[in-house]
Amino acid sequence: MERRFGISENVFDGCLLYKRKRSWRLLKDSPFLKKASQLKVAGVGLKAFHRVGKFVKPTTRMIQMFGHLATRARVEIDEVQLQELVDAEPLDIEMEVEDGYVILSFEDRILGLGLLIKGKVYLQIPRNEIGFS
Amino acid sequence: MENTGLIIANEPYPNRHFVLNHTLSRMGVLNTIATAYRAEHFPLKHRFDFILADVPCSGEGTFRVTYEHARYRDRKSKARLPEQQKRILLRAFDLLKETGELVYSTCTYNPDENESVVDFLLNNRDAELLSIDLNMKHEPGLREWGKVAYDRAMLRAVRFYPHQLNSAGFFMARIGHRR
Repeated sequence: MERRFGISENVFDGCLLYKRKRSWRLLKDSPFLKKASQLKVAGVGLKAFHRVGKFVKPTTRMIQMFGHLATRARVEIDEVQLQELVDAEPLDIEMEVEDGYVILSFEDRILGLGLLIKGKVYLQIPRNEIGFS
Repeated sequence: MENTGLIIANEPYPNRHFVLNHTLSRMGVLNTIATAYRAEHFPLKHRFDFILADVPCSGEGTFRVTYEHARYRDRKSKARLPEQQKRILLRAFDLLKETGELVYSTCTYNPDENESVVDFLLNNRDAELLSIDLNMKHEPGLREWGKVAYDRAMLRAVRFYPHQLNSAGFFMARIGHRR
């Protein structure tokens, strides 16, 4: 998160990261966790990352929570550009950043991630998360 | 809670865990652990400061937005609800710290699932009803229903009606250990 987006690791002080299969979940540390571990746990915290091929991708929710702290790899888009992405059209974007995930922002609100490949951004937000009013 | 402390979110039905996880993540909640016990069997290993017992109910308060009333008379499970709700409320109270507070809530108007259940707790545990300070229209809990009279303190429970709030209907009772 720090290397790609400039989000300091200090932001996650007091948090724990649990790995399960191909995903990682973020949970605030608490003195009550030891007691809670004695229960039959069905789920923990927020799904923060999951493995996509050889890459580790932050989830949409993770980026929506912490993306406002990003100082790199963030692109502001307008409604026309957002509609193009939703229509599965890639955006032509000039950014001084390597290919990889970028944070999409619309009217200063963090939407989620896009994938930058050779000057084109492809939407990585689940379609059922997007709605226009 | 601003993501401080720890919440145990108990949901016994696995098919509802997806919705629970979705809601928690959408709200940016980082301090919650989900469990899947039947509420009346939640382990008594630990005690809690605050408990919300939002129990299974007949859902009469939601009829203005659903068509459940079309199947209402056929729901055989409705007759079994009060017994289940009593067991859940007893277990919830037994999980409460001495200084803790418990809210019992339903989205139904049925006194058999509301005041009767709370009255059952008051007769079987050293519990008391606490007042609820609300800045919205509501009615007090019922003092009687049919031939059954409830504890006078039931007036501290609250009923929400759609014609007053333009919402679904609810019942809430705030409960603590008798002091």
